[in-house]
Amino acid sequence: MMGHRLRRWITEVGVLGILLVALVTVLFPYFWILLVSLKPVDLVSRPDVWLFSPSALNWEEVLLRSDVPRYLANSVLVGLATVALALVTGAPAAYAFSRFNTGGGPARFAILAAEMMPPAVLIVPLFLLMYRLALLDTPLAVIAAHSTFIIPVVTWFLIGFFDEVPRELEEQAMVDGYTRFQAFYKVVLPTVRPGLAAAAIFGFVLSWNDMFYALILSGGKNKTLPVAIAGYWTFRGIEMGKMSVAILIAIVPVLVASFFVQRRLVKGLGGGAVKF
Amino acid sequence: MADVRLEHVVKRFGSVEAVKDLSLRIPDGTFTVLVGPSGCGKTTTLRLIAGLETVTSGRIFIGDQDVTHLEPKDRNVAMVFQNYALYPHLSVWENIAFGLLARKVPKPEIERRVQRAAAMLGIQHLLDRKPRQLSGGQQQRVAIGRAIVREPNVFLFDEPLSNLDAKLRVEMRTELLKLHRDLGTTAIYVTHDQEEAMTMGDRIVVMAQGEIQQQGTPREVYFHPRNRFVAEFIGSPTMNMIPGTLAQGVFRAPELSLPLAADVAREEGQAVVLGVRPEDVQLPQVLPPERRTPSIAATVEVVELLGSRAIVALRVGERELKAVIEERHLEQIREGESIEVAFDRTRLHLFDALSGARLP
Repeated sequence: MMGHRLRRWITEVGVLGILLVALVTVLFPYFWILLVSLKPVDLVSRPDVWLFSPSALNWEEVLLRSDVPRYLANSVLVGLATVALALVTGAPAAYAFSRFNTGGGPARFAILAAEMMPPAVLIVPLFLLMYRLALLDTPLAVIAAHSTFIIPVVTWFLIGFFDEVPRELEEQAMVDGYTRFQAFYKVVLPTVRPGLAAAAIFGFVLSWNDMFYALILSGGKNKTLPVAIAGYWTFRGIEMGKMSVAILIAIVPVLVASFFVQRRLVKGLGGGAVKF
Repeated sequence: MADVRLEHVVKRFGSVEAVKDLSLRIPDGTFTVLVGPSGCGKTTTLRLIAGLETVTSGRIFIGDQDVTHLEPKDRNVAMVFQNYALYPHLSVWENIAFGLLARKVPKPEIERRVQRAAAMLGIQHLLDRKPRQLSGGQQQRVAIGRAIVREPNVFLFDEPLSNLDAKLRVEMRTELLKLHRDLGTTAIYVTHDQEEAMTMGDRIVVMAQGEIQQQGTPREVYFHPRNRFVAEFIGSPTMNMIPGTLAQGVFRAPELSLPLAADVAREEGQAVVLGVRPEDVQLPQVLPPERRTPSIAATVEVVELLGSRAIVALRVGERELKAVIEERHLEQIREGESIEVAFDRTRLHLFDALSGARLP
């Protein structure tokens, strides 16, 4: 008896220990960045100093006396617009793939081709295109670029959710007096809501984290946040304190979003909403 | 309310012909059951009537209206699916009212119809719930309620009871029939379960391989199967089939020979199959003398007691015959012993060995 309980106790402590190590490994960099953002200017380049009286100077500089809030707004705008575009086009596309097998089986994966190519392949044509359209250094250019990979990813992501919806559901709606399109948005779309939410957050994070397209297509006045963060790497050195503040501003929404995407994903894939 | 007519309807999926030149008239107000093994085209036929599939050729009429090329929404039919297809994001009330909202029925009228249907089905207390909070039987009722409130020309049922447990299934059968009697709306019901077809249908349409094998009342189909397929598909346990030949009014098979009534004399030496339903295989003394055939020696192999009756597996020569014997005659029947049995000669069926068609 005792041996059995002892063994269980040891197992639990072992598991907790591993989780603790994982947690520290994951969280420590964030913690360290938070510390740096609060350090007085003269201690920023002293990673060995752990005890100091915190200063809000970096935060004031970044939030009140820099363009970072505007860049943040740019990132939000680009992310939201890209996701909106991706859902409006991706949901019907995914539905078509799921129900009518449009383009045959391989087409489902072929749409991911752009995603599989190195971004460098696409950037030159995109740059020339935006130049011709006089869209360089505008959020529109970044939205267009992000759409090239976020629309396919969102579409691909949603196909599985539509596959899970029984056909009878929309057939019932059609017999009940609705057109196929009405059946799609009145019955099928609400049924895959968890999937739409997960896809939206997933797409938003992809857009939010991108620096490559944003830097090249809109690296001037209309930067997004990741580009702005990189901008603290100046010819005078890295402005560690302010950079840390900007990094934290960029990270927090993603953390919150991942938390939701995880819960929604579990809910969406685990049934309950779709199965009955 | 309306009758339903299919005229030379063909449906092909690629190279597969699911429905072959099917013509059928379903009279107004009847409860008609389409029955057959899976893949026989019964569900496709139902979906063609609903408009969920389009015909390859042929025409479909509901009442006087040619609906062949109408959208499902314009056919005024209501359908109940096997998996109920309740809208998971809507409450029971909204599920039932959904079709009425599409048709812009005024709100007070919707409320009245939903309440009436809910009362008929005993689900008034569930109207605020979501489908996932309901049991299978309750979901089934909601699906039926959704069909009723539409007051359609035709009800279409696609195996609506197959997901229920056996007891509930039998209860719902009765309830559906009661509903049908109260509403009087034409109903077309698809099932693969011959027992369900027999108990529920005013009329049965037996299908196989995309073609109608026979249509008629349950009695007609059971007692006068038009061919071997219908004879074997309808009835449980399955009809005994004994291949043999006919000569001079005598049926001869390796294990037995039987003189048949004069009016079944056929061309000499014809290869035939004799069909005998298990309940028509009896102990000789049970049958009135004028109805029984000469006795046949058989060995009792297995007795399966069902309650008031038993299914008895008999061996006659190389052939196994099934008999359904009433429990009170069972004391004379023991596994492993030899007994004499006779057939009810008024209920023998003869089929052509090649075509399978009934010999009249």
